[in-house]
Amino acid sequence: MPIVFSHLNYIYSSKTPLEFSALKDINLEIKDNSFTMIVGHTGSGKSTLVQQVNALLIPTDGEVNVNGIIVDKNVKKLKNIKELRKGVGLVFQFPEYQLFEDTVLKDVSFGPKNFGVSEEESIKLAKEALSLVGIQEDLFERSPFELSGGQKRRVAIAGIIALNPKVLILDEPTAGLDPQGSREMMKLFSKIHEMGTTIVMITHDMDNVLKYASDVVVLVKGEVIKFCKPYEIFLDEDNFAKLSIEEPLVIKMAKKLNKSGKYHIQLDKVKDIDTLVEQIAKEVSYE
Amino acid sequence: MKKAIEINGVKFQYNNDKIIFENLNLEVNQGEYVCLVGHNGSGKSTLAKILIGLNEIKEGTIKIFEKELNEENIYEIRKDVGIVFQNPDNQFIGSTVRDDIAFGLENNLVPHEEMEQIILDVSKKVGMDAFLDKEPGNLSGGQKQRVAIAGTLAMNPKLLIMDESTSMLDPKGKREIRELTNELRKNNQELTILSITHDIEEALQSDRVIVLNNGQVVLNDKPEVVFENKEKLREVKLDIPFGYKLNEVLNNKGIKVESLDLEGMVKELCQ
Repeated sequence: MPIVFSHLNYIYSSKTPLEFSALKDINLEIKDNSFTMIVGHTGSGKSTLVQQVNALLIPTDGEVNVNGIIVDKNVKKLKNIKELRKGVGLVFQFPEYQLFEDTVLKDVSFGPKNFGVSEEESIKLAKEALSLVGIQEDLFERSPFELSGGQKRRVAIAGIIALNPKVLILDEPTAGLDPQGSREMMKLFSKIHEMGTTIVMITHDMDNVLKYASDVVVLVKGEVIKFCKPYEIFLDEDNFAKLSIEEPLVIKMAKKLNKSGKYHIQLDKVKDIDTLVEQIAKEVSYE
Repeated sequence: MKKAIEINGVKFQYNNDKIIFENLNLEVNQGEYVCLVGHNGSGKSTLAKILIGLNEIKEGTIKIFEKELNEENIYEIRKDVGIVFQNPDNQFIGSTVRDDIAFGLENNLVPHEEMEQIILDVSKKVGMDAFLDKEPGNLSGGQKQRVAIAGTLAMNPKLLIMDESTSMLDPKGKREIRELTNELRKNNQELTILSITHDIEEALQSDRVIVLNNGQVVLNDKPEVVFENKEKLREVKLDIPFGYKLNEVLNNKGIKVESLDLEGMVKELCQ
């Protein structure tokens, strides 16, 4: 599902002394089947931006077009919004805080049931989603509150996946997880992406951006200042330092090697340590 | 050398649940900067709560600066111990940075003039003196944690415990706190720091790394020794610092390098 923002503005508490312009003239085309990551400071408008996509927030001006469904300030018809939300699953930050049912299976099947799917079918969808996120069957009848932090988060994410969304929006899904948990979580999203889901993810982790993103959006004070391939952010040193983005160490290393004049590493092909070393090995063997 | 923490034969379990620690023994010297690492659920935070007397042990003894931790002297011992928690948003009380740092001092009835000076000193130490009249809510995550650390330092602790103080911060915030911790330690050789962390790059800069897994100490040594033990670290699902990983992958590909840091490896590769 393509998502197209045109001249979108969003103002919080419009026409009050607290008026705050959170998004300014956003023009973006998030391609179907892409894995787009959104980066930027706390308060740069990342969460505000993604909440327009399933009409949790309605643009003050301009529009967002999600696969033909237009969300703008005139949107009133609830029917359309329901249609939209079926296609766009949004996972908030710390989604485990939203678990509420007494068993894991009930919690995950709540979503489909709420959209009118039969009890039986909902349970089936829930089981599929749980197996996809790696929750074993012996946990299905347990209370979600008895699970570990990582498991809770998986269950919460399964609750969204059970709706079979075409677009999955994730707001810092790895925050607070340990490194192993965070790696496993990213592998899961990569798998969901490969199954044909468009993924939009807010993150601070530039290593993940480099490794997984197909495109990246850089937001500064509510404006899109860059929409590019991941490695391109790191080409302009002054710029990303100002954005207080941390340069991944693999890129730092590649740049240092290139600076020496002895290496010609292609930055667009550096995704992680393995891809960096592959290139180093090639150049070493030419000598 | 004076001991800051002595843990002897400690057993702990929540209610009658699974035993978390059985015969745990650990020591931290005064002035040492120790990082305690382990995956989620390894018992790290439980240990922090034991050390400040929030969790009661079933067996064994805990000594803080050579005083045994018990019901009678818990308040006295807590005067020596400062703790900074994980979530910067859960530990603010004051409506400005100044009020927030003042909270502990006010509780201890520190005279007003003295208080002003202490607040100024500690806020300078953490690099937040320009923000004293700002609302804590408007600060970045890294800044919030710096204020939390200032509030703790204002009480002049001899032992500073950081319980995953950087795990909710973005990479920049993590780096800020990492650098601040290093600085605090350099400027005060007496200060003991026990940092419970997932940040492996932080562990690299400490004096000693303790690796905890299922309530047991599996490694306990200088960082360079601990991180050489890659197999063991992988076994307990821990990260390996970037330099160590890169070194390993290069050597596995037949590219011989000895350095474990970026600069060193670049030099070797360009020879």
